[in-house]
Amino acid sequence: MSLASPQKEKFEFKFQKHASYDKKHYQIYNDLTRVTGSPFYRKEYTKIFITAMALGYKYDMKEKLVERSDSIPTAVFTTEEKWMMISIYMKKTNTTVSALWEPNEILKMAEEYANGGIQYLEMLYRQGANEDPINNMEDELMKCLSG
Amino acid sequence: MAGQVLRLSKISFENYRPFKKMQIDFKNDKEKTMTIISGNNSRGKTSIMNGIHWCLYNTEPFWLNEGEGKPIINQQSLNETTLNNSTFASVSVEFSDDKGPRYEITRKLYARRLNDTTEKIFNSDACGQIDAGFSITQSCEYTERKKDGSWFATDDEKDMKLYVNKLLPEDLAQFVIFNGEMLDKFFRKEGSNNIKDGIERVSGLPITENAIGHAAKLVKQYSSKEAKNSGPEGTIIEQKKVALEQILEQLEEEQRKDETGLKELQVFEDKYSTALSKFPEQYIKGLREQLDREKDNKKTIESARESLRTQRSDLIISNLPKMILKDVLLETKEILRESELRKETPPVITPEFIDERLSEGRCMCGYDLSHDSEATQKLIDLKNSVKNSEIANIANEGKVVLASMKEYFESSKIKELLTDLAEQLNTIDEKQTQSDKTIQSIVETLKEHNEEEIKEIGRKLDDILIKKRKVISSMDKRDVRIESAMDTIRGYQSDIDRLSKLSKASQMWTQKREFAEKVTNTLRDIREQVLAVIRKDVESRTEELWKSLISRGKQVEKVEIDDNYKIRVIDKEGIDNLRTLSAGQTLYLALSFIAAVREVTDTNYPMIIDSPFGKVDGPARVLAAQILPGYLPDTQITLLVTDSEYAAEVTDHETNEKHPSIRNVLMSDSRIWKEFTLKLHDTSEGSSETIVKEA
Repeated sequence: MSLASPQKEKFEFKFQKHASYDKKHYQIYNDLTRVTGSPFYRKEYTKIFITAMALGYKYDMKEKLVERSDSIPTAVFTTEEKWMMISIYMKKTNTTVSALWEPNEILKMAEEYANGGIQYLEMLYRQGANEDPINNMEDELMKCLSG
Repeated sequence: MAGQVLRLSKISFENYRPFKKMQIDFKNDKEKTMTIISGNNSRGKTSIMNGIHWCLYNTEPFWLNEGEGKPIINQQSLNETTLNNSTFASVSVEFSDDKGPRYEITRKLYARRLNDTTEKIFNSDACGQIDAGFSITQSCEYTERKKDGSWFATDDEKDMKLYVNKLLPEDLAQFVIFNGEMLDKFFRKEGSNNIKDGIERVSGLPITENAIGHAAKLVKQYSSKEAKNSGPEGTIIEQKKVALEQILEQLEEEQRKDETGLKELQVFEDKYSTALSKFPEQYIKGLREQLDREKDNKKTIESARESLRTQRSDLIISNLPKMILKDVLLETKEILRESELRKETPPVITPEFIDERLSEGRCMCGYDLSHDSEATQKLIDLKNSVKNSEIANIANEGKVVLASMKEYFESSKIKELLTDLAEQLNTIDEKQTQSDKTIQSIVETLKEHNEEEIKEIGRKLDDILIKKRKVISSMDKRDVRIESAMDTIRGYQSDIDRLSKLSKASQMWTQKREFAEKVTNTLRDIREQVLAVIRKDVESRTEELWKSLISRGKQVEKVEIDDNYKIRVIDKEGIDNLRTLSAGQTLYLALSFIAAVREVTDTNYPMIIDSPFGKVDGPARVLAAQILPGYLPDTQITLLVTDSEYAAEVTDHETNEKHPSIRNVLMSDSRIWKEFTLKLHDTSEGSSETIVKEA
């Protein structure tokens, strides 16, 4: 790709102020951060978002948001998390550094994978109701480590 | 049954309290005469004691709170009994002699469900709370092998009572089946009358007593005839005397009833005071402090566990997305590298940086630009080309971040961390489980020592003591009236004597009456002499046995037993030391006393002792265990012990010195025949029952 881009005079990689989950998933985001037995207890929504996004990517569960929450401050994403989102975008759009011109498209794709993956994450959490829910997540991690 | 050597050969329970079906067979072995039955609290030891007593005497004296708990018939069995059907509880006790089974006593309690009412009521026949829809009936059977080998049997309750009391008087049952924790109650005045009555019964004295009664009747008959023959005045006096004698009989009857009532109150006082002595305030305070400490410890453990759990969650949450996206992140890293090589990514140079180089007139490589306009122009062009170099910054950031993530992709390292955390969590879980168990154990102990319950027992004890005081006061007043009536009767008799001397007709009856009186008095003297001999024998044997058991023996001058079997321990200064004896010394004194009574009355009954070491602790407990096997060498002894009383190492709380467990002490003696354990067994119906297993 060529460096020069006809659309923009000055490049600035900046996500929009808030990322979103679909409002229909409010309950699981809320439960995961507020129920004491949850692995995400008292953690930022961004952690749930990124984990859901990764699971959505892994299991190819991508779903458009119906009603955006606009509630997850993008400033809270770490650099690593930001690059996870960028990497998925590059992979799925088969682009290279030119992708960096499209921060909001990157975020949109991340949101859609997180929207798909949150259902799988919810399943992992609810299935572990009789034991520590983190065990299911550990199993998921062990699959990746063994693979 | 004086002179007989009887052994308990079998006890069987069916649907009796916690037992669905349980039988314990005892070996008739003259050498190995000791059997141990151990079990935790609430496993049925007290039920065994009560079951035997209920079978023999139709009472269960070893419960603390009668009528407040479950009924005699196993609760599950009652629950399963449908309309118009019945169930029953049964206890059988078999005694054998050298020729085999000799006596078998069985008592059954039937419950028939007449309607489906499940409202619970207290049913005195069932001895507990039971559905109101049940009808309760009882039956019993007594069988005895006669000398010719044939069997005698009766199912009449009155007959059975007679035969069982002949076999083993209820008053002496406390020498056969007793709670070791209540042995100190033997030496109270109120309890000693029972002992006296029981000893009289097994010593053949009732025959003498009957003869005394018969002779006393003759005295009355002759006295009446004597009065009638001494003239009208004598007749009037005799009528007054007879009327007063009737009043006296009533008073004596009331006195006997009160005595019986007093005995019953005494049983409750013993139970409640024993229960209270087991729950001293200081002990409960110590338990509460221990519970607080353990709760703090649990909080620390929980906090450490929570911290480890958080570490584990953080490790998994931070690594799961990275590991899922590992390949794609590595690809991005490669894209950034190649893009840089292909110069698609601009160098990380800002326009401000180039401005500075231009103003200095020197390139970043050190080349002097001041005389080279071509080179200066190239630098100006570069500045324009990097106006969008923010993309270089972000790409560079990606390069750095992705490079640093490389170490996270080392699976073995993550696995190692996870394993380490899992091990730490396991260790802390074990600590938590241990802490939970400790707390549970203290809470259960505290439940047993429930303060409200203790207060309730205290209140009950106070009530009993008030009732006792009232009964004693009433008896004292009645004693005065009886004495007065007897004085008056003696006065009437003296008047009759005076008048009869004046009448020839009455003199013959006077002679007869005087003779009958002499016979009565002689018989009474004989009875008193026999009792005195027995009492003296019991006294000297008790002293002998006890002195051999205690270290304080040399300081004790003598053990005294008075006419009412009240015991005293006299020291060199002539002072009674009974109240100052330690729990251990009191236990040994009680055991010595029991042994002496059994020896002197030649009543070799088997002996069943619940919590034999319950009152003593530390070295005294070990000593008691060492003494027990040698104590009453020919007697069959069954000990009911708690696991902690029996199997736990004994600690001397003063010196902290450890002693072997009671089990180890007893096992070293060859008198133990067998050990049984009472265990809870889960049934296929999902409930539990108590079973006995050989240890």
